[in-house]
Amino acid sequence: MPHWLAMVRLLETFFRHRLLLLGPVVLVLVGAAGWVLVQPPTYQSSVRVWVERQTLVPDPNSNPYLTPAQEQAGVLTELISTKYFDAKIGHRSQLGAAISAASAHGSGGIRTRLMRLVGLAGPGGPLSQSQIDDQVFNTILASTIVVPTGPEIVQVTYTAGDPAMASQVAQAIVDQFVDETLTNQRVQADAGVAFYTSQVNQSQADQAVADKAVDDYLLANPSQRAVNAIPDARMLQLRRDDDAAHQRTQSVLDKLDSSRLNRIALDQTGTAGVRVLDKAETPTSPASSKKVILEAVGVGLVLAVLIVVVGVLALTWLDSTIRRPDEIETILDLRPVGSVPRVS
Amino acid sequence: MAAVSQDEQTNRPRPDAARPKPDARPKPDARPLRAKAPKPAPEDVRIPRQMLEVCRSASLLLGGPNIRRLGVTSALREEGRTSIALAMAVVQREDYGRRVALVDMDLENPALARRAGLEPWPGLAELTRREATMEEVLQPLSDGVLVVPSGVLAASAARTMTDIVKSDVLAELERHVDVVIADMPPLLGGGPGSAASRAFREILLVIRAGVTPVARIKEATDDLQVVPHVLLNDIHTSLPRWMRRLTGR
Repeated sequence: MPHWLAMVRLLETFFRHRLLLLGPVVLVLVGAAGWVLVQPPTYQSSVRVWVERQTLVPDPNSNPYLTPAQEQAGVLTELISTKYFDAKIGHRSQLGAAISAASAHGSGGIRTRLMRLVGLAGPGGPLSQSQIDDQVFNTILASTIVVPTGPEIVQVTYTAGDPAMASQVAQAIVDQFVDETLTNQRVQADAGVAFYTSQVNQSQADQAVADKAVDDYLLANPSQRAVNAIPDARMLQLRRDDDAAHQRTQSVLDKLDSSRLNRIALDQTGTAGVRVLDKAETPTSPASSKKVILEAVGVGLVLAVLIVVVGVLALTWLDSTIRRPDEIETILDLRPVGSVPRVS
Repeated sequence: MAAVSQDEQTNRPRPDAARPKPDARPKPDARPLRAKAPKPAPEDVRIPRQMLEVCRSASLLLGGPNIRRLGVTSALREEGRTSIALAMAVVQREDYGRRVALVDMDLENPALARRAGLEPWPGLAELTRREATMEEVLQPLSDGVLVVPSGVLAASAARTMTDIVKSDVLAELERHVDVVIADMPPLLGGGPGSAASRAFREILLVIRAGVTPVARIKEATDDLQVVPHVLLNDIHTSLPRWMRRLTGR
């Protein structure tokens, strides 16, 4: 069957069963509108953070083609998608406590009740710490937006039903991020100090051996002790080794000092490369419902199109009758001699 | 046709149409006197103009004035078989001036005589049993169009149909008229449709658009010994007018 004939057949199916097909579409759109209407108001709180490239502890994985804001926004997004990080935010803010209190005093929202009905949610009652952490993780993951708004500014926005909670969690996310960044850098700095300390020890030991070798040679060869004595080849070699040991010791000592300095600097405020510019403030008015409406319209339209397309395809596939004269030849392989139109 | 009855427009039989009950049928030997002059066509015999036009074209494709014997059948009941048979008979008469015998071979559910307002007997069954003469069974519907009702069965429909096919009655009819057009029983449904089809070399298969499943049509045509010509009945589109213009349909 040519493509255009198949298309016409699909169109005919649609118009023949238009009430059957459009009924569910109307229901879906009405449902989406109802869903928008019953949504509670939401509040958004944002924190703006200044980020710059790490200078004290250079990151070897740093991408020079990304701005610091893009890089750190990616890091923060990755952290938010971990339960470890979100659980800490839950503890730092009142989110964990609020979820725990809600589970102890209430039976959950409509969604929880529906999920409980079909066995996708556990029974009501107080939640265990692990369950609270799970809910904190899901809530933070679904309600947090991290956007680099400039080359060195990252904006973290958290949406909640309670204005105070929105600001608390937004601030907690950034505070935890700063802590994580600092902790990470401190660990790296500590590792550097420990490494260079061991290097210094080793260098000093090597230097002591070289010194002793020179002293032993001079003791064995008094002619080499004179001030204007011409050093022999062995003496020259021993002195070169001794000088090299001294230089290496000095070099690792310098690096150890630098590492110690960095480590001490990391204990000072504002040296982590992350600085909060605008702290989270408690929002005074609900967030715009434009996003909810757009989501509802989008989901509704997608569902509606899906219903129509699947319905038309199914009804066309189920229709095994002859409807057009050309189908007599194409489907039945018989010779048509005419077609009588319906007299209305 | 100037006036067309509603049922004929939609090609569907009227459920409330009066029909003689089997026990109320007169005995074959109690034959009433009938006027041989054609009766005015009852409302049920009026044929829509569009159907006549399509049957006119179909007649040409089937041989026009050369058709001698044509069986009109369908896979299932209620596909517009009787209406098409009537239309084909009218076309043969009006266009070619031929004498037409319209034979009701649907022995289990004869509708032709009832729709034409004619006596249901004597008919094909009596003619096969030699209980009636050709002149007695040929009832004029209009000028040049004669109807042979199915008559009263003395045996089962399948047995009677076998007797009809084996006997020489259709050939005998051909000698009295120019063309024989038969309203055959449907091919499926356990009736004698398949047996009746053996009596025809030209078969017009009526298919009601959007009703008869393809599988049933194929099942029906598989048993035929000749390749039937197909007339699609009651075609319609659900597309709105603007889209029909757009798609050229």
